[in-house]
Amino acid sequence: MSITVEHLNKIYPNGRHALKDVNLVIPSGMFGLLGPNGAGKSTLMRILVAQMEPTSGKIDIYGHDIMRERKAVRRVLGYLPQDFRFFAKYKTYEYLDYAARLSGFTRARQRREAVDAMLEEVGLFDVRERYASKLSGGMKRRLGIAQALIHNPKVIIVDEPTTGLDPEERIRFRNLLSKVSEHDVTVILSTHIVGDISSTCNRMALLNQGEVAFYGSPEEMLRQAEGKVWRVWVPHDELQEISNRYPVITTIPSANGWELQIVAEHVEDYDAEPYAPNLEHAYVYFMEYKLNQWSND
Amino acid sequence: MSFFANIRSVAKYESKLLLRSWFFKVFVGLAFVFLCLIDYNALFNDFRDILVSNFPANIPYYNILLLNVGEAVIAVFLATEFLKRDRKLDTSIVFYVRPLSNAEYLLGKTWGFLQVFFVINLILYGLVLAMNLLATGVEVAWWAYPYYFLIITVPTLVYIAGLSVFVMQLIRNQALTFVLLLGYIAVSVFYIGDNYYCLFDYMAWNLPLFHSMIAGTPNVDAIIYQRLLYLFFGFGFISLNIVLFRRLSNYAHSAIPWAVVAGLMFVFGGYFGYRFVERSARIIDNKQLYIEINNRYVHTPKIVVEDYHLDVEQLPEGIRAVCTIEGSALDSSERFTFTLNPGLRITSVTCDSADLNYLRDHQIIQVDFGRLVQKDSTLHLTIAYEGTLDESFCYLDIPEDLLLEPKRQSQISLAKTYVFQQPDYLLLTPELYWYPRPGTSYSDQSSDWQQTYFSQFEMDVRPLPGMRPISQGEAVDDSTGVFRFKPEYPMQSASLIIGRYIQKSLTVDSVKYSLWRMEQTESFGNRFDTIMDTIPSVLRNIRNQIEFFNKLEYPFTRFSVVEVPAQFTSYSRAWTRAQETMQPEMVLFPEKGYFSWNYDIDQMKRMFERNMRYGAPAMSEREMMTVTLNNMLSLFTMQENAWKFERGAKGKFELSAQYNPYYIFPQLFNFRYNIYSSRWPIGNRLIELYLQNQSTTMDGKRNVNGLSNDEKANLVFQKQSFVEALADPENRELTDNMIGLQGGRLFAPAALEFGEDKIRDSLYAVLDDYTFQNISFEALLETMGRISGVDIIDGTADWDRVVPMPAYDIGAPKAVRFNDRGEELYQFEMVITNVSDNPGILSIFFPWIQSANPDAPKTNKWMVHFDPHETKRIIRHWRDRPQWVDVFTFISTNLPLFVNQQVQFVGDENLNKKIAEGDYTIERVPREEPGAIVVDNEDSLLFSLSPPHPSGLLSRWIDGTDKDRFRYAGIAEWANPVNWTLNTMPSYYGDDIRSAYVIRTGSRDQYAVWKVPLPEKGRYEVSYYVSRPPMLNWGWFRGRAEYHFEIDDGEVVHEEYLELRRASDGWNSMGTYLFDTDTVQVTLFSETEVNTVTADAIKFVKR
Repeated sequence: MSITVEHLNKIYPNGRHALKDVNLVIPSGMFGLLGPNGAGKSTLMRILVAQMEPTSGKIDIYGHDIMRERKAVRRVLGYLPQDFRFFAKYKTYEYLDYAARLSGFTRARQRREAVDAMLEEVGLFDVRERYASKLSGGMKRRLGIAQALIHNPKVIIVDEPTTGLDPEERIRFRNLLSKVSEHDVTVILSTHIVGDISSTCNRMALLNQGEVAFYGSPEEMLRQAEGKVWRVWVPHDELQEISNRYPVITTIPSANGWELQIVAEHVEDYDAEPYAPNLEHAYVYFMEYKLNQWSND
Repeated sequence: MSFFANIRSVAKYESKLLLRSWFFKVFVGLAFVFLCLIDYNALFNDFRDILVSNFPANIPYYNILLLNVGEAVIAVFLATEFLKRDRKLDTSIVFYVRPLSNAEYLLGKTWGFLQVFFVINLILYGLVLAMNLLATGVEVAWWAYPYYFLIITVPTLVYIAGLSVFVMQLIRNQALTFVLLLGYIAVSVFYIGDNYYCLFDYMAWNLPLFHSMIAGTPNVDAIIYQRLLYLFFGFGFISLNIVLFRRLSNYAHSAIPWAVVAGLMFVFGGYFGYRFVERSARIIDNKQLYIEINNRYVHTPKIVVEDYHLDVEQLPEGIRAVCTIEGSALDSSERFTFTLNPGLRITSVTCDSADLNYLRDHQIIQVDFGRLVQKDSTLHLTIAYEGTLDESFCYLDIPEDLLLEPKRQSQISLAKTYVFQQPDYLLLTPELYWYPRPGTSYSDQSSDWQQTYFSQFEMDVRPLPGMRPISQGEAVDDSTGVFRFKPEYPMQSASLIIGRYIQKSLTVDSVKYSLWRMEQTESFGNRFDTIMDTIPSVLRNIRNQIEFFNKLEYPFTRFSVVEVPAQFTSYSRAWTRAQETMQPEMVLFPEKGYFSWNYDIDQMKRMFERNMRYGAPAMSEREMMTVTLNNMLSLFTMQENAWKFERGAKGKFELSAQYNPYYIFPQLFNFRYNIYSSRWPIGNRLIELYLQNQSTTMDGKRNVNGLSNDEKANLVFQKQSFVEALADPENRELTDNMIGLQGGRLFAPAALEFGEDKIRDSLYAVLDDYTFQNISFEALLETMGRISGVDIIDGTADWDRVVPMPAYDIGAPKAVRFNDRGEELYQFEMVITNVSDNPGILSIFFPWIQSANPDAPKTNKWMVHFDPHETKRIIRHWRDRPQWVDVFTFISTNLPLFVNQQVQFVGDENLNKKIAEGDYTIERVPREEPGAIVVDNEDSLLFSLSPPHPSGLLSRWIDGTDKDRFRYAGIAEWANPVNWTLNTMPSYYGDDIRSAYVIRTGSRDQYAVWKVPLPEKGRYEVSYYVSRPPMLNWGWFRGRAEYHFEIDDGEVVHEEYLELRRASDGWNSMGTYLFDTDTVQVTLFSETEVNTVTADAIKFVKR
């Protein structure tokens, strides 16, 4: 396994217990890290990229203990942080060149080729002379992934990479990550957008309040929600009532009222039929019925 | 390898950011413009700075110094910027996750920062170099560019970069860090400045880095220590920044080695700091030791040396010498004391080839002759010695603060140096005790040390090859490399200078004038060759002028101007006018005359040409050179130079001048006469000042400073005896004035009896008999006493106690015209009262006036004696109408001490009113009419002022606290005080103290109040004593010139405006009022359109 996390705890100086005995095994390929805001995803990410020390526990990345061999770990890491908007006054090319230099590309020619290739790969070659701060949101994301990939890392950690992107950019981004993960690379995708994981990850973990609430494949998570998702038709005036009783996933207006998708063990008093679940349904089911945390607010 | 590669990478991208920062771009732009202006001014301007333009090394020094200060400020901002940027920019973290170490990152950032500054510096130096090359007649010191860059810029930037990031890491707030470090810079430049030997001067702003073309930079090792201190502290902070950097390190304990490196760097820095202080403080540390040793030996027996024979050999560093002394014992003893510079090691002391025992205690040599030598018997001995002279032995009497006071001009600091002893240059003056001299040097317990006598010198000097020695006497080369000097006259001391000198001589009226200039400086070169035929007359004129003015003849057959390194420094002494810059028959002139543009010949010529373009009369090349030569030589005729104008607190100013160390007077007096006294070592100086008859009482300085130094000295004498006052270091600047006043007082009784001019003439005559001979002060006074019939020496009896002073009420002078047997004459009259319990003498002087009787010309200056409370009516007749009269009150409580008044012409009188000339004792005439009630500003009970303007912490800090030693301050017309300031002037009201409070124009917030007690109710005429503001004489002033008063009797407030244009100096009526009360309050407000308001005296007269 490429990454193992054992009994990881992080307690901040203010006493907040951000990670509680986290144990994970992350194989190569795409790995999704799902969880609501404040679940501890970013803390785990920062610890994985050696920017924060855990309070206790052990992390091994490709045979290197992150506590003792950070340099070796950093060599195999590529990281795209969640916020990637504000740049120092570097041009696109310079930004990538700087990252390449710091990652060990000491030969100018080799570095130039690698940078140009990466710019082509992410579709930024034409704007290589433009200051990074002047790029569009999507371009900035691509520049972000380019810098994370420039040195062919073994582990790529991307934190909320598709937030704020338009659908086209999002799909393009997902595909890029999937493509990278094909080369015996571990990609850890931290997100709260369930769709990103369902379409790309073959393993995932669900973090909740600093604990691993689920660990397995998206299919396993999906299976847990089978027979728990229903399509329901209700008249106009009953929408509020049913919303109070069940977690409502989608609400579609119809001729006689509303067509709803809800998550429930079983449905009473309404005209309902079973519906094939997706990962989003499974996530809601898991949060509502396993962890009792769902809210329609 | 990746270590350096990563550093280079980070540096490269950090420098890119810096270069793209607008802040940096603005700085570079401004620096470019600023340096262009500075260099244009220094190198191309008509009034270019000689210290910059004529000393090639100073061009980069001056520029780098100024640039460095700007850089230090910018560097603080930019060095803290990257930490702030790293925190602010979320994208920075992607570089933090790279495998580079914290050290690589921090070092890269720091190096990138330094790299940019270094490159910008090099570009700006290129600009300076270009201007240097373009300037005509200015050389280029190529070496100085890298030298000053390494000495000034590199340590400053490394230190400030390291420190800024360090503070930023501690505080984590860029704005606060910036403010804190700016404060640090301000404190280090403005507050600490050159204190503590410039230890805290990390920008080298005050470090004496001037490079002499003759002798380089003295104490360069100390300077390097100081710079290494900051360089290593900079490295220390950079290393510490790596330790403190808030990013997880690559390895768990990778910060430890950097903590060790930081520690080591601070230790190295501390070591260099210690070496610097040790090196710099040596001159102060040894001072006390040497004084204590002198104190121990000051009363031991000594000899008078009649003949010196010196064999001196120049060594690469120092000298080797054999000194043969012949003299007579001043006391009977077996052991006699000599002093030799403590750096010199004695190799033998012999008498007739037999070794003598001797004791060496630092500077002291106590020679044991092995037998009792009777008083006045002749003895001789030979002392052989060698070594390097200890400079810290010099100027033991000079206070520490003065020794440490920087020597600077145009921000260029010069190291004060008293000795030069290097292979290519040697300069030894008597202050160094470079040959054995009898007795001790300065003792702070007894003035016995100060007995110097005339001796005959003979000196053989063997310089290093190619060098030329200069000393007193004509050098005779014996062709074996030995030069013999045998001056024809005795001297009190001798000096020796050796260097690659070129002599240029000219004999005029039997005096050989020589200019000794150094090969490397090319000072003045052959510039005056075109006027060689004119030079004799110029020299003759200057000589005649000096001799006439001082009533003394130049006594030598040679006069040499010897160029010495600019750092050579001397101090004025209480007991002599001669400084070390002045040696018998020679002046040690600073290289290229760096302190005055008079010596920049090219510049002078350009100035003449420019003046001609603007309409000045045309001048030929010869005329230009003649005027230039005259200007240059005028230095030797000026008593004071180096004027210093300082702005003090709250609009107060201080103007001071220092004695010109190149003033030729000592050649005429000090090196010719020797008035010695073990009891009164200032005797020599007293006679010297008395003969010069100087008065500084009404010069421009008094108007600015508020009090003349004579007046300050008088205020000192009210509390301290003459002896105490001389010993008090706080009075150091008043020394000459104190001595001069006491000299005037000492000879005043004789002058009263005999006439002042005659007394001076007699003094000259007596001294002439002692040319190149020793005469004791007491013997001189006795002789003068015999001549004048007055016991002059008795006047010294009260020098050790505080003597109560007279105080004079000097009335207004007036004159009437009358007809005396067909001749129109003017009768002058003035009434003066001694209002004190103490007798006194004052002097009256009529400038520019002719006696009434041309056949019996009387002096226009005489003295008048006053008994306590005596009033005298002074009557004199003059053929011309007397316009002005001066009264000088010597040592008295009068302020001003010197009263210069316009004589009021009161009309014509007939013959019968003529009163014979004389000083008549009369009853005191009241100054005011009977019943007049006057309240003056000096009345602390009845006069008060509004509270001063509140001053904030900042203004207090900037202005400093008011710690005036004296109550009275000066008023500068162009910047009148913001608060009431007490000033004295002859035009103010008062008996002995004519003072008034002055304030700049303002509002009703500032006012003065007189509370006038009335003996009875009734009608009173109210008058105000006006001193017309000088502004009224300005033609362009058209504003309302009036003082605004309120006269308040408790029931009615009368508003009154006193029109100043119609007013005259003195009392001016403000009208008559009916008062039904026993006290009236008069208030004067500062609101007016004239620039000053003067609160002086109010008078009420019953009508």
